[in-house]
Parts: sequence; C-alpha cells; structure tokens
Amino acid sequence: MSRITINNLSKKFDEKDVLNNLNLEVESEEMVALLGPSGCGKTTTLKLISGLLAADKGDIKLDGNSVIDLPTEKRGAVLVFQENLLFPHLNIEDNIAFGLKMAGVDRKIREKRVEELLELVNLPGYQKRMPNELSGGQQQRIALARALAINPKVLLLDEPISNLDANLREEMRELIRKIHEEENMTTIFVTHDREEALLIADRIAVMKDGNLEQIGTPEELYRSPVNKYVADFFGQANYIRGCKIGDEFYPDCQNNNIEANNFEKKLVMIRPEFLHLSKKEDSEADLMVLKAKVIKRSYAGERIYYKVEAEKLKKPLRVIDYNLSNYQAGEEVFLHIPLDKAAYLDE
Amino acid sequence: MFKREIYRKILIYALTFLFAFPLLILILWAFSGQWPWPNLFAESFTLEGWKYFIDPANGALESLATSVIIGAAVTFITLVISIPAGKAMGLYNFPGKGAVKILVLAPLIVPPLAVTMGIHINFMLLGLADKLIGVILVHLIPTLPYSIRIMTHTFEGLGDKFEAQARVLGAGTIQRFIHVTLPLISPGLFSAGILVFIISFSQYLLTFLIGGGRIITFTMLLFPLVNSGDRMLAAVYSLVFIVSALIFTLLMERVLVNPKQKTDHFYI
Repeated sequence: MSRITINNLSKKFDEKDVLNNLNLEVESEEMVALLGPSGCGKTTTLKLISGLLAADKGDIKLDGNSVIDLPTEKRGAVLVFQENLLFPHLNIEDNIAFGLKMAGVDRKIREKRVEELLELVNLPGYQKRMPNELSGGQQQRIALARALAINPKVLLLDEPISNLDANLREEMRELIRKIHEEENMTTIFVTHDREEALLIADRIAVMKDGNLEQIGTPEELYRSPVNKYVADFFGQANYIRGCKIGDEFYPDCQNNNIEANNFEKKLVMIRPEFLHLSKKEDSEADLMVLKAKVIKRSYAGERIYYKVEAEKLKKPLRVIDYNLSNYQAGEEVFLHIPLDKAAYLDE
Repeated sequence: MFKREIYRKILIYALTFLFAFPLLILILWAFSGQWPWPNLFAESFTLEGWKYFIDPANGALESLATSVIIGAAVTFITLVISIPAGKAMGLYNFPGKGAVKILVLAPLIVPPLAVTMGIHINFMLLGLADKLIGVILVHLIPTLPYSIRIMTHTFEGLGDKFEAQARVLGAGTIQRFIHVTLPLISPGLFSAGILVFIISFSQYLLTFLIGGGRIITFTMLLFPLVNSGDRMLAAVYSLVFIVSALIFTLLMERVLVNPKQKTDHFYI
C-alpha cells in the first residue's frame, strides 16, 4: 500500500556495524526480498522499519513521510516473526482480531474481517480453535492473517517459509504471493534461501555484512551481477580475467592493441549454460571463440557437465550442455563465449 | 515395563501416605476428648475444640480475618512490585544487574530479626508500629525475594517477543500489559502468589515485633496453643490454618489460571 524509502540507515550493536548506510526504495505494491546469509543485517532492517529497534542514523519514509520518530504501534508496518508467535491464550478468532480490537474496531466488523481472512488463508471455520491445536504451517498462515487484519501500510515477513517442511513450502510461497496481490500489499520479506527469493520476489536486495550489494529483478541479478559475491550467490559462474578495449575483450590482456592506458581491467562472468561447444568455429558478432580441450565430461540425465581448458585461459571453465553432445575427455573443440550474455565486473 | 509401573505406584502411594498421615492424626486429635497413653483410639469424641474456636470471646475468627487481610494485602503488593522488577531483571540488561540480583535475595540470607530491630525503631518514628499497615509492610521483607525470583524466571522464559508482536499490531503500553503480558505471566503470578500468601500467613516473629501485640494474627494464637500441649485445640487451629491456605490457593487458581491453558505450559 505504501512506498518505502530508506535513506542511509545505519545500526550498530556493541560497536559492531550491523547495518551500514542502507539505501533502499520499495515501490507501492511491490514485493522485495532481502537475501543474505545469517548476520548480514536483514532481520535488523525489518526491525528498524517496524520500529522495534531504533536506528543510529538515517531515515525511513512511508509514502514520503518520515516515520523514524513514530513508535512501533503507530507505524502501521506489521512484522510477522519467524516463529509466528500466536498468542497462546487466545483462540484463532481473537488472535486475528487482536490488532482490530486494540484499535477499538466494532465487534461485528472484526468478526467479518476474521471470516474474510480465514477464507483468504484457506482455513475457514477455524475461529474457535486454539493455536496449539494447529500445525506449524497452519499457525504460520494464521500469523499472516493476523498481520493483514489491520490493513497495514507495509507487511514485513521474517523468514516466513524457512521453518516449514519442504512439502509445505510451495503452498506457502503461493499463498504469500496471492495475499500480496489480493490485498495490494507492499511486502518486504527476509530469507537466506536463494530459490525462495527468486521464485516470489519482484526484486531482490542482496545483503552482506550490513551492506546492500545489489538490488534488482531476479533476472538482472542472475545475468548481470555487479560483483563476484552476488554472482556466486545466484549459481555457478565462470570468471575470465582480461582487458576490455571498447567492445572488445581480450582474455589475459594478450593483444597487440593494448597500450599503456587505453584499456580497462575487467573480470568477465558468464554462467555455464550460456557457453557452447562445437566442432566447427562459428563467427557471429558478440561471440568470442577459443580453441579448447575437454578435460572432463559428466553425464547428468537431461544435461551434461563439461570442464574445458581453453588455450588462452589459465583456469578451466565449466560448461552445461542441454543438447546432449558427445565430446569425450581430451577432445579438441571450439568454445563459444557469447559476450552479450556476460557480465563485466570490476576486479 | 509392568514391573516399573508397579514400583511407580508403590512409590506414589508411599509418598501420599507420608504426607497424608500427619494430617489424619490432626483430624483425629481435633475431635478427640480423653486419649490416654496405651489406647490405640481415643476414649471419646467431642466437638469441644471447635466450640472453643467458634466462640467470639476467644478471638479466633477475628484473628483469622486479620491474617487473611494481611496475607491478601501482602500478596497483592508483592506481586505488583514483582512484575516490573521481574521484567527488568528477566529481560533487560543494565549496569549492576548482578549486584541487584544478589541484593534482592539478601533478606533471605540476613537474619530477619537483625533487620527488623532497626526497622521497628523507624516504624515507631513514622507511626507505623503496632499498626496493620506496619505489619503488612514488614511482611514484604521475607516475601519479595521469592516472588521477584519467580517472576524473573517467568519473564526470562517468556521473552519479549510476544510483546513485540503485540506492538507491531498496534497495541499501546497498557493494552500490551493487559491483553498479552498479564495472561502470559499468570502461571508465574499464581506460583508466586501462593508462596507469598503462605509465607505471610505463617509469619510469627515479624508480626510479633512490629505488631507489638496489638495486631493479633492467627499464628499468634496458634503458637502458644501448640506450646501449651493442648493437643485438641492445637489440632483444631492447625486444621483451620491448613484449610485456609488451601482455600486461598483454590481462589487464586480460579482468578489467575485460564482453564484453556491449564495443561499447556507454553511459557516455559
């Protein structure tokens, strides 16, 4: 519902930087995933947005209005904790209606909203159950419903799926996406699971040691990461060191055109499935072709993994081939590297 | 498996017997008249003891009422103090926390008599000596350490996450306390409350010193009777003492323990 703007947000615990000048913009009705290993500051970010922690520096705005000085209960940013925290002394109906009751909403309206939300999370008729009678997945869904009950400006989810069994995850993922769309929510969710983030987020913010490394759509992050950390986070990557002059790229800077300062040192990152092996040399634009030798072939059903050693490159490259080609170890081939599908990283 | 079950049952019955037998003796004594030495059973049964107890001239019921009033007031004040104290020590970090924790337990280590002498002088100066309120205040000394300790552990077990959850759902400070914290700590309040009431109810020395003989509680009548060797009356008074504590426990349970969560120790 609301646009979130975060400016230079910083937080220290015991002199240790947990969050370092975070700048992040989340559009209204967008779903952004904060992705990173534990201790990277992603949960801290959620707590800062909800107001449960006070920021050391920086500002948080909802729809352009600063909320940094508002107490948690007045922010309208609802955080759903990892351990769902249903109030054990209240039944499901009272749990979901909790926020509405606190806001003094009429009983009739509360009951109607609870019914509507139970319908939304696929647990109709559960009003009178107690939380301990529900399974973990059901509790998580009630926790979501409870957060939605007060029509929050922002929905913050802390690892909503990680605690669930593998077979419940897909269902929950779809439910979160459905809720996000049907309730027109602005959602930020935290996860350490790359696939989870790729599957449901509109955009992903990759974090490391309290810094935002990169934010972008799943495809942008996969295809054009800004650094090695992000590249490795989203899957296998090949790296080729070299020099870039204009649009040309020279592995290991071996070229006569290279003069003192007409080049940039770059690291080319390319995913293994974009590389292509063949017996004859294609020559298209944007295609770098190198002579190479297969050093290992591993058959994996619908795809084949190759390890190849290119003449000009120091390190062997990984190739994933879905065409089930049949090159044996030791065979001489041409390695085709489509540079338009590569990302140029600074070293 | 079968054998273990038998051992378990034997143990349970043995323990029950050990606890119940003295009570059975008390009941017998309370209704026995003459019971000379080698007889297995009393020669006669009588309600004399109970008549003596009910007779207003002996002040037994009046002193019982005083004891209950003091006990209830002490329980209430102690719990009111222990909730914030327990929360602070259970959930927050502050400089000197370790020292405060030990100081809270100090009244259990320092002999109460030593402290109460000094307190008595001050209470006289403040006009609190020989008064009900003075006795209530002095009963806080032996009760607070236990109750703060119990509430500290209750809050440690509960954590502050439920409160944080209530906050993000828009609950203000008072709403959070009434709708979330209080129901969740009620099992701890129940344990602390019973303990505090019984400590206050059994208090003799402190009541004697600060009450100055003007505030007559039930124990002040019970002690001389036990000393005098009048077994029948001592048994009657003791039974009333036990039953009163039991009734208070049941009342507390009614007020504080939510029947829905009786079996579920969620807060541990």
